[in-house]
Amino acid sequence: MANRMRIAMAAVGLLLFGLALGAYAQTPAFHDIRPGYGVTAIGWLSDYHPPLRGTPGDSRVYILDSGVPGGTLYVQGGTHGNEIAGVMAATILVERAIPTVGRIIVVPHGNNANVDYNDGYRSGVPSYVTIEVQGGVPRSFRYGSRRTNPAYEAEPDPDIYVSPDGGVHEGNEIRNLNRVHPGKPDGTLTEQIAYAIRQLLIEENVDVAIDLHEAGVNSRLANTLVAHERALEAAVYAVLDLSAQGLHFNLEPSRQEYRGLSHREWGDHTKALAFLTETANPGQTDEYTAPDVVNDPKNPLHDRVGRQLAAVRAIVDAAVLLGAPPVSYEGVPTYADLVRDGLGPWLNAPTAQP
Amino acid sequence: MRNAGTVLLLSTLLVGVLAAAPAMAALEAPALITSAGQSPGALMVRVLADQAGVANVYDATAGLDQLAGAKSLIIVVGASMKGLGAAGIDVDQEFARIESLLVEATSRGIPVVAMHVEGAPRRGSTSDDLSVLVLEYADHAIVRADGNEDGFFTRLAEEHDVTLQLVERTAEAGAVLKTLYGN
Repeated sequence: MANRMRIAMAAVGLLLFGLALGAYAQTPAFHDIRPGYGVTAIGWLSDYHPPLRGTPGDSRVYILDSGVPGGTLYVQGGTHGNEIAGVMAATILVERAIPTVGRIIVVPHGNNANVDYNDGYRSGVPSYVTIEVQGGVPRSFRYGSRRTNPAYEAEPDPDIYVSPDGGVHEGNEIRNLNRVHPGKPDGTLTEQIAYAIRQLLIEENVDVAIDLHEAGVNSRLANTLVAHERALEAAVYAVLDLSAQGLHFNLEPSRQEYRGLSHREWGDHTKALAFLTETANPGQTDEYTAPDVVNDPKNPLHDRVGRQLAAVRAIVDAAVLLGAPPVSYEGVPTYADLVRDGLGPWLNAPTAQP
Repeated sequence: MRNAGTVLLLSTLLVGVLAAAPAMAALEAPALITSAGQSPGALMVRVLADQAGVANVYDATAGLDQLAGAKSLIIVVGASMKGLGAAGIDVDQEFARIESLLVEATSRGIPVVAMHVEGAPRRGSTSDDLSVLVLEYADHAIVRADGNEDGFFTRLAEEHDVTLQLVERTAEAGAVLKTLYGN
């Protein structure tokens, strides 16, 4: 009898543990992001598509409202969790930007369901990167993957994936956020994330939308700005502005065949001028066997984040110059600031030592 | 405030390039600006020409009709297969269009400026073949220096007696245009 009781209790314990594990697995990942004074509200992607609530695809939405009428800028990092310069640039915007005209909306982890997954796409890359901030305190940031963790999708990958607007891709791209735009309200988890983002862009009346990415060091996409055709002239001005600062960016117009990609679908399905930036990440480079994604001598993380932030600034200035509603902000480091200081001083540190 | 800073930076670059530019007879506007290869470089040059006060007509796929009112021809080299595809042009058609413009401009005494402003990433066999074609007819060439690290444009310019000016940054090409057009 006692044995039966022990077995029953063990079974109940296992059941409860399993349920707890299941609930934990369905909780969106939280990140070490310490909002600064510019942040006036914090929401979720699920505010724009409620079925995402309680799933690993939900993600924080940071709103920085100047209170001064103007336009709305949307910046997204982490579409691909391994493209860490975009995540860090978005994080610095949340922690440092003070809007002075209009609003900035930042989602540092566009696909929060890829942050705990290593898809083996590249070997030798870390699960976390650590940055030492003021006072020598380490802060850690997840280094995720290109695609959604398959454990979070209900169905296995198909052989061929056709995006909502007809883009034909390899089957595993069904878990790549940047192939499934503009998403589906009743689609896969990844498609629902894309749908929530589309709803955000529409409901928040976003004027300029920027998706921050990285590519391999030797990729033709490294240090490139891609722009929807409605945004192309602003992109030209932005590239020339960056050039004047000594930062070479290639310009790539979005094409009709890029179905499912953000610069194509955001530009087609919302009023936003849509852009995508790419910097050069050693962690995505086939030729590197042991990439250092933070301290690579040619493409250190602070340099890449500086390029991302410079591109965001140049895009905003160009769009406003050409007639977009004004958006302005201060407090964000320039490329030169980050080359001089590194990332640490520009990330918020604990206000008190334990 | 930051726009003012950008203008100041561009002005500083302009002064620097002006000081370094050799003396030469000014070209006349309006300029017809077209692409050889359908990359975005031609659109960049249109913006730079506007900023430099060079009156221009921009048409990435210009034909002989567009050359009628032009007093100079700026051809911006940069091959993009996707750009050609989007414009509905194949490589052979692009070469034929550019050659017809060059031949016609030469026969009418219209000076030709060759530009390659997208640097090393926009080098490649098709771009290089287009550069060979355009520099054969060009009077001036403006090239971003990282696209000439192998001396490709230097050799072409020497071979065809073309005045070559290298710029470190794409944005500096506007200052060279300003000088060429005497603005």
